[in-house]
Amino acid sequence: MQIRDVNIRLFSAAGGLVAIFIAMVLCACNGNDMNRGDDALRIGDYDRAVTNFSKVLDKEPANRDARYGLAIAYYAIAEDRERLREKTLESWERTVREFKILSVVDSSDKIKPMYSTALFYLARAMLAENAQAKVLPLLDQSITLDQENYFSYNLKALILTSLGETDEAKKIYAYIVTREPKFASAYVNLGNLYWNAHDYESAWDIWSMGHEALPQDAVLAKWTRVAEDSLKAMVYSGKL
Amino acid sequence: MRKSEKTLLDSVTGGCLLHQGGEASIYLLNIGGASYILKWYNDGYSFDEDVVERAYKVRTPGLYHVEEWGKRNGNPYLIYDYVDGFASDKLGRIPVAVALVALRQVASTLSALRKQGVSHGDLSPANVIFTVENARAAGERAKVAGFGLRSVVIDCGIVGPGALAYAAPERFQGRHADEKSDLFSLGLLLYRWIAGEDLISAEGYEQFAEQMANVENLNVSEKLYSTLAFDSSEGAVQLKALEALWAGLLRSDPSERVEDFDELDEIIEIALDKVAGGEISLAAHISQFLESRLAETENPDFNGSVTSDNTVQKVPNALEKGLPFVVCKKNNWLKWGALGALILILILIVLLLSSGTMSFGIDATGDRLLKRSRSMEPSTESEKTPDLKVDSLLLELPVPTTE
Repeated sequence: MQIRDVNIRLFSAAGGLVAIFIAMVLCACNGNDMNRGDDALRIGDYDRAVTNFSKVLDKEPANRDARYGLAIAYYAIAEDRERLREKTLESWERTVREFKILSVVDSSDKIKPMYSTALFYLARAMLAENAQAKVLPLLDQSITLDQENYFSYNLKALILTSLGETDEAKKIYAYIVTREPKFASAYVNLGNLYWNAHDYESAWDIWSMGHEALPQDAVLAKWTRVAEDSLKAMVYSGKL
Repeated sequence: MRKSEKTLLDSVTGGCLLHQGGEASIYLLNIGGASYILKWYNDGYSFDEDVVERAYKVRTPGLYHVEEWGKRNGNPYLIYDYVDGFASDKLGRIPVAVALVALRQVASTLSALRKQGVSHGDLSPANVIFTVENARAAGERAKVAGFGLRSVVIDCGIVGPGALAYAAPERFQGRHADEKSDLFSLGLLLYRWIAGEDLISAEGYEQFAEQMANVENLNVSEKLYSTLAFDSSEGAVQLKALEALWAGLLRSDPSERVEDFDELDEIIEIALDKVAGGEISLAAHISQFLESRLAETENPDFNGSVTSDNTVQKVPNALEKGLPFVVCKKNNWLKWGALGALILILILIVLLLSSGTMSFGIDATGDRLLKRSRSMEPSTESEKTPDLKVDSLLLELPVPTTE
């Protein structure tokens, strides 16, 4: 009887160890998929990265690294399409969906900047498809996720401008150039606002300020010069 | 029972039956490569647990070490260390000088036991082991005590009168063993060693009881002389030297026996002086005895008698059929070895996994991509947004004409 008990205990222990072993082997397989996905991501083979991270997620849907890797791969694919001027709405929708799931798995601040940027891109892609698209909630979410995502601020200000809320837009642009003096678009767009309101002097002030901060920026240099010339013309014509 | 998580009995990897007696069966066990003796009591027999527990505290080279005792499946058992030597009942006639040295050693051991309040109660030639191997590698202590001979007493704590041929008369009356009864037994033991036969032969309990009660009627010296072993001037000296011992030990009335083991020691010392004729001669006697016994162990056919319980035995490394208890299978170490190897493999896999799944590259890649996309964005925006609007506004502006 005792021998049987000892054997049962031994076999139970061995069985447990074998189960752990199998689990470890499965994890090891996942580990290999992870490594392959990471390698693919690093060298820009984003489609293969998607495949490998997806394999890991098939077995471990809550695997944070695999989920983050997949989101990054989608992000990179979408961004590549941006550069090629292709339609990107679907890509960004997929990317944002992945980040949304990731945010459940990983509540740390680590993923927020990229998630925020993905939301900005999604909003822009939606506008590209439909100029009347309601994207302000997306941009607000983007800003909430990353207070330093000035692209989202900038796009929000543009939309507010189109909605006639120029004062609010001006505040946002002013906020951007105060926090990030090298953000050229904010200077351009704020100057544009003034120009549109026939406040050419203020437009020149803003563009020239931007040109001073970013002397290499061709757009700011161009419009600073145009504003100067226009102001001179107005002086010569007696309108100013 | 000695307290331990796992008993020695559970750790037995090999064993064989040495001797099957009326009181108990004796087994030689292999426990972790070391040899032990298991005394497995038959139904109706047991040992005095209190005696065993107190004897356990006595650590003297002349006493066996009980390592574990208790009950298994209702059967009492004892496990004690294997004494590599000869049970003295298998040695035939022993030279008087050697017998006296052995008796002195046994008396010394019994004295140590007595200090723990323990009397042996079952002294017999079978329960005294003469060690040979230890004597050959004798340390100084062994040389001083017995010139290479060591006598080890085993099996104390029996319930009952013990071996009838060596039991004191009062033991047949149901009295517990005490120092006096052990002293009586020592007298009979000495006779057996010297004569090679028991002083009292009888059939059955009653006859033994009667003869023990009338032991004074026996002329021990005459009986020894009749064995023809003392038919010389030297033999006469020996018989004369031994008389004080018979007179002090073989008395039916306990009060007439020597006072204690210390007094016995003095009497033995006097007898040894007369018999051995000095230490050098004594050492020679013992050395000769040990050498002759050593030759016997190297010749297994010698008398065909030196192969019983507690004689030199090969430690069994496999279980034989008929062991009265259930033990671990002999190759448990293999199982544990396999488990250990498995655990080692698992640890290696875990380490492998740790290096595989702890992917710090994902975050770094994410950071790099984010940085790239945010540094790219300003030029795109700045190119696009103002282009249209500023250009269209310019159309409304007056164009300088003078430049």
